[in-house]
Amino acid sequence: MEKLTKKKWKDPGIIMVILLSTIALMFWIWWPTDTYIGGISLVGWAMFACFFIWLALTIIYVIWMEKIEKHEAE
Amino acid sequence: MQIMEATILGIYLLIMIGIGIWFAKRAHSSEGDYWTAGGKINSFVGSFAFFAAVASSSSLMGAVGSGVALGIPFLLAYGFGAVAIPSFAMFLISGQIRRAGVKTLPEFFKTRYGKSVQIVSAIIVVLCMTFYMIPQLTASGLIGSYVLGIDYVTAVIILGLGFTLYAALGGMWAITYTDLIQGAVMVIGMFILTIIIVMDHGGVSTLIQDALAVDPQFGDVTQPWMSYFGLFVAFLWFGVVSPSAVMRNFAARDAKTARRSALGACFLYVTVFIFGFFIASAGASLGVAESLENQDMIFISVIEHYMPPILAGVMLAGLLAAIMSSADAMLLAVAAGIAHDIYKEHINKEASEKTVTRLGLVVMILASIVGIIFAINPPQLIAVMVGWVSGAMLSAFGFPLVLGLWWKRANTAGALAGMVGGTVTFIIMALLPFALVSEHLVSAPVSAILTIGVSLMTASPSQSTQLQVDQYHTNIQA
Repeated sequence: MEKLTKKKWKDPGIIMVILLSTIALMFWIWWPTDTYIGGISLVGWAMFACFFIWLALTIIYVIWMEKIEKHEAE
Repeated sequence: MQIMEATILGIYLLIMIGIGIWFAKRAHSSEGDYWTAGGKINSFVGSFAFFAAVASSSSLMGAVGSGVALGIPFLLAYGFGAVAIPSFAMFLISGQIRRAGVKTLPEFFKTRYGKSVQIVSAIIVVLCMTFYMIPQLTASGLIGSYVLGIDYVTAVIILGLGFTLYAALGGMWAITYTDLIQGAVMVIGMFILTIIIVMDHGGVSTLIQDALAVDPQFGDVTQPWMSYFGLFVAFLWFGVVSPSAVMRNFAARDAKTARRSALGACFLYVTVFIFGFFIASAGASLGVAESLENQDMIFISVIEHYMPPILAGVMLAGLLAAIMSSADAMLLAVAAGIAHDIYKEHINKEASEKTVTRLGLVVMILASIVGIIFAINPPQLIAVMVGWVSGAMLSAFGFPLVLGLWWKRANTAGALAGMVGGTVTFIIMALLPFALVSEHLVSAPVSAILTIGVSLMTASPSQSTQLQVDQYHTNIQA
């Protein structure tokens, strides 16, 4: 049981949650309201950029999980 | 009445109801088929289904309306959380909850914590999902009244009852397969509208400048930091705590299919929010926001201004499709909460599957009527109402669910305290004057503290329950 408990903390999902939360946290601390690019606050552009970061994290997770499954099947 | 738009809408709704009837026989063959489509949905269909269930009227009309009314950063904050909905749910709970082998969210609470938590959660699911019908019905009423030239109240009643009939007939089979069509119509429609807008304005930067010329505050952060942060947190957690999204997860064929479906849904969400950005910019450049009775109408104004009637008809069908799929998934969650989790589990264990699905039908009609009554005079912007529901569900279910899956020390008393305490705190916060959509920033931590604190102060769960939690994490294939 001890082994199982340790194993669950190595789950790729938890690593991705930590990465996502860290990126979001950095943004919310930064919060650059007074800088403008093309008339729109940098806050808006940074959130827009994060759409693609979230997508990238999801792609990495899906590939990672499939590799683990393949490895276990072998 | 807009003849062309009304004709296309009518044909579209007839096709959807036809699909509902087609799948009705299959759906009523067993409870598993009715609630989760027998767990046989593939990745492609699953992507659109997950996306269409979560991308409600709010993602489209609401986000655009709020982006014009409160500035484009508000729309982007919405997307900042919403794009991560499928991914965050997948990272945190999807695999584990599938391994629990349950059909609904309250059923998970029963296997993990026992009957008391199941009953409380079923009641909260029913209340939240019924409230969630209000923004969906508001949006459908706005579209219906515009297209059919009838008054808003009549449109809400007609469309609300139409949705119920369709969802009740087919269960999850019908909903999942029509979601494929609805999701596709939504994304393609927004794509075409975006192309027309960008061409009309002669490029992206001109479009933004046109919007700023009409509304100089369009690019500004107009609300307190808390409102944006609250919106982000509410939507980020939506896939984890929303019973309609969680039920989608059970409909996938296997874990690999469920993950690929979530990836597909994430991609679709990114495209929709990019298109939403352009549509909101076009909406601001029209300068009609202040003159509208309801600012959520701005999306319809953009469609009407930029698209020829035939394309506008398709686009409005897409919008109505988004509402329909979300409303149907909610109705199904309400029906499952009462018929499956309360009636069959606690009132009449011997009830036949047919009786349970029939009861589900009656519950759907009742929930729809309650939603219609409230939607006649909607309390807020669509985006705000959706934010409230999401915040309330996060306050009630977020920590009892996630801790139940990841922390074997979480027990029944802790889950009950977290669920009830979080809900009550949310209601108190909602009654106090506070920054828009940020009530859950207080109530969710209260729920977390209560779940952890009360669990630690009371006896540990049994050895078998603790082993069960470890088993959620053992077999990656399951």
